[in-house]
Amino acid sequence: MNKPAGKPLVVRDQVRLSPLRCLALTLAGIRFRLFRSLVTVAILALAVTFLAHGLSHTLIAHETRLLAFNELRHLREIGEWVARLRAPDPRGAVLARLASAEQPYVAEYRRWAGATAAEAAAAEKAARRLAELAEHLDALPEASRVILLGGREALDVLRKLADPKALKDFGDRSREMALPEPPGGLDALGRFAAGPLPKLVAYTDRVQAGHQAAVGKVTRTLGPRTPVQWFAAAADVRATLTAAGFHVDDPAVRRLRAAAEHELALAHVGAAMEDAGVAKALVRRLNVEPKELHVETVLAWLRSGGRADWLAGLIAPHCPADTAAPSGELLLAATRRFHRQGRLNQVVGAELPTARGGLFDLPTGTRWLMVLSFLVCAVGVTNAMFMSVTERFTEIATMKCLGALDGFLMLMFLFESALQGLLGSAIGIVLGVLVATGRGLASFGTMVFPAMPLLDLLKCAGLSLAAGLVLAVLAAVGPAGAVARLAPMEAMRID
Amino acid sequence: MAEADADTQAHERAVIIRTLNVEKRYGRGAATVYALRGVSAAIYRGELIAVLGPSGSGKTTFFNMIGALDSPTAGRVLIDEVDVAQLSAVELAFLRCRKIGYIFQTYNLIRYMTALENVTVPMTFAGVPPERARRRGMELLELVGLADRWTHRPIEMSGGQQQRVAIARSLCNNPTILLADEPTGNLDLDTGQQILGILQRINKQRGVTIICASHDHRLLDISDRIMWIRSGAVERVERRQDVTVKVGRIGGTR
Repeated sequence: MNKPAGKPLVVRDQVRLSPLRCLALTLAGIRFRLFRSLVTVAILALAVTFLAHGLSHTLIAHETRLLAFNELRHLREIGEWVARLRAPDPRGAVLARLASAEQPYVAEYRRWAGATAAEAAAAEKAARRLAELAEHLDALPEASRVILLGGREALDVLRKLADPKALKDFGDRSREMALPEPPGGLDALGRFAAGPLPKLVAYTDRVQAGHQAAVGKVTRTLGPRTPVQWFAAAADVRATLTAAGFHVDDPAVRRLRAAAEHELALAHVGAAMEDAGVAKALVRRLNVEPKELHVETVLAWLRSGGRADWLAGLIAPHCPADTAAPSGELLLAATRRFHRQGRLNQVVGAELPTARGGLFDLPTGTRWLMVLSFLVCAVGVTNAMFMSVTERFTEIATMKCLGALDGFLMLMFLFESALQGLLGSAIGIVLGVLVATGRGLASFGTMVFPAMPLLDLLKCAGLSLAAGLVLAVLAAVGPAGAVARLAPMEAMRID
Repeated sequence: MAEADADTQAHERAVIIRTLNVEKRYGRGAATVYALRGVSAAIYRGELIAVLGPSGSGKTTFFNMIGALDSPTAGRVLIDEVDVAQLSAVELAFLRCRKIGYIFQTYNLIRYMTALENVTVPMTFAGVPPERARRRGMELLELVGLADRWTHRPIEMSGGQQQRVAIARSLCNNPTILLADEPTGNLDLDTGQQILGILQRINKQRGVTIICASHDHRLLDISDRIMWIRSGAVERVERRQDVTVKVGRIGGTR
C-alpha cells in the first residue's frame, strides 16, 4: 500500500458563468440543433401568423368599410338633401341627433327653433336622458315590455308618467314583474317626465315648424324645378339654403352640383331609351336581347370614352329642348359614380360600421374572434415550446450532473426561447399582415390601401410580438426551470 | 485473521464516502419498489473499490446516491463527512462539477455536441477558459485513443467510442472521486485493458478514489476491495487478497 493518502475534498460554491458565456453556449447549441430549432420557430411563426392575421384582418376590414361608408355618405348626400327640402326631419331623427349632438344638425335645429344656447343645451341633455331610458326599456324582457308599454313608443309611455298615478302604476307593475329599476330610479323618472321631457317635445315641435318654414322658403325659390334640377343648374344654391337656415358649405355645394348633373344625365339616358329607335340601336350595339335592355345593362357596358360619346350622340336628339344634352364625358362620369356607389355598397355590407374609439373598440362578435385567435396562438406557441423543452429533459439532467447551475440552465432556455420567440413572432407578423392584406384585397379590392390603418397595425404587430415572445419564454423557462430544480437523476427519469 | 487485518487498516484510513441506512423507494403503498433497502457502507479515501451484483440489484441507484445525483428516501449520504442533503444547490453543482467524475452506464453524452465539446462541458461549467479547455479536452481524447475523432457526434460513434468519450469527460476536472458504472462494458479486450490501466494509474498516482461497478475480472484484480450488492443491500465486502484465490479457482483465466 504505497498509495498517496488521497486528495482532500473541499466543497466551495460553483462559479457562476457570465450571461454572455451562457448566450455563446446557447447560440452554439442552436447551431448544432439548427433544424429542430427552425421547426420550433416555424410552428411559433404559424401560431403568431394566426393571431396577427386575426387582429390585422379585423382592423383592415373595419377601416375599409368605414372609409367606404363615409364616401358613400357623400355620394348619397343628394338624396338626403332632396328629402330635407321636401319635409321637416321626423321627430325620431331630431331626437337622435340631439342625443348624439351631431353637427351640423343641432346648430340648424337651434336656428329653426330660435332657441338660446341654454335652451339648446337643456334639450340635448334631455334627449340624452330620453335615449338612455329608451335603451333601458328596450332591454327589458319581451313579455314585460309588451305589458308595460302596450306596443307604444317609449316617448309616449314616458310622457304619460308625468302623472303621479300613472308613475305609481308603472312602478307597481315593474315591481310585480321584478324588473330592474330604470336608471336614476323611479322618482327621477317621474321628475324627468314632468319637467324636461315636455320641454324637449316642445323644442322638437319648434324645430320641425322652423324646418317646415325653411322648406317653404326654398320651395318658393325653386319654382317649377325639382331640387335636383335646381342643384345642377342654379347659382344661388348656397345663398338660398343658408338664408333658410340650412348649414351648407362650398365643397358640399360642388358635390351636390356634380351629383345632380350625373343624376340628370342618367335620367336622360333612361328617358331616351323609351324611344324605340334608341332602344333598337342599343340592342344592336350591346348585342343583348331586347327584354334584357335596362339602364343597368347600358351602364355596365358603358366603360370607355368612345362608347360614351356614341351614346351621347344617340340620345341627344331625344333630350327635352330646354335642357342641354349630356356630353359623353358627363355620361362616363355619371356611370363611374353609379358603379362606384354599387361597389361601396358591397364593401360596406349590411351592418353599418361606426368609428372606433380605441384599438379594440369593435363589435362584440369581432372581439370574440380576436380573443379566439389569441387563444389558438397561445396554445400553438405553448405546445411548440413544451415539445422542444420536454425532449431536452435528459440534456438538462446531464448538464446538471456535470455541474451546471439551475440559474444557468434556466438562462440558457430563456435565451433560446426568446430568440425563437422573437424570430417566430417577427415572421408570423409579416405573414399575418400579408395574409390579412391579401384577404382584404380579395374581398374589398384596392380600397384596402387608402384605408390601411398603419398605426393600429403597428400596435397589433407589437401586441402579437409581445404575446409570442412572452408565451414562448414562459412555456420554455417554466418546465425547464422546474426540471432543473430536481435532483439530476430524478429529472432523468421524467421522460 | 485476514478480516481483522483489513479492519485495522480500514480504521487507519479516512472515510471519503459513508452511507448510513440509505433507502430508495419508488412508488407508494402496495406498489412500492425498493431499489435500496438500508445500505450502510464506507468507502476509504484513495481506494479502488469494485461493486458487484446482478443486474437490478441497485448498483446504479447506489452510485447515484453516493454521487449526489439523487436524494435518498431515507438515510444519509456523507461525502467527506458532510451530509449531502445539507449542501446548497450551488455547492452541489461545485461538487458534481469538480470533485466527482461520473462515467454513466448509458454514457449520457449530449447528442448534438461533438466528442471534444462533450469532454469540455464540465470545464466550461467550472469556468475554465475555452482555449485551455480545448487543449485539455484534446489531451484527454488522446489518452482514451479518440484524438482523431474529436469532431464526431455521439450518433456517429460506436458504443465503445462513446464510452471512452464519457471516460474522458469524467476526468477533465481532475476529480477526487470517480464513479464508474461499467466503464469497460462495451470495450474490446485491448481498449478495456487500456482504460483499466488509466483508472489504475490515476488511482495510484493521484490518489483518486475510484468506485467501479463491473464484472470485468481484470478490474477485480486491480481493485483494493470488492463490494457485493444483492437486492438493494450490501451482501458482503471483501479485500482483494481474499477473493483472488476464488477467482483463480473458478475462472482460471489467469
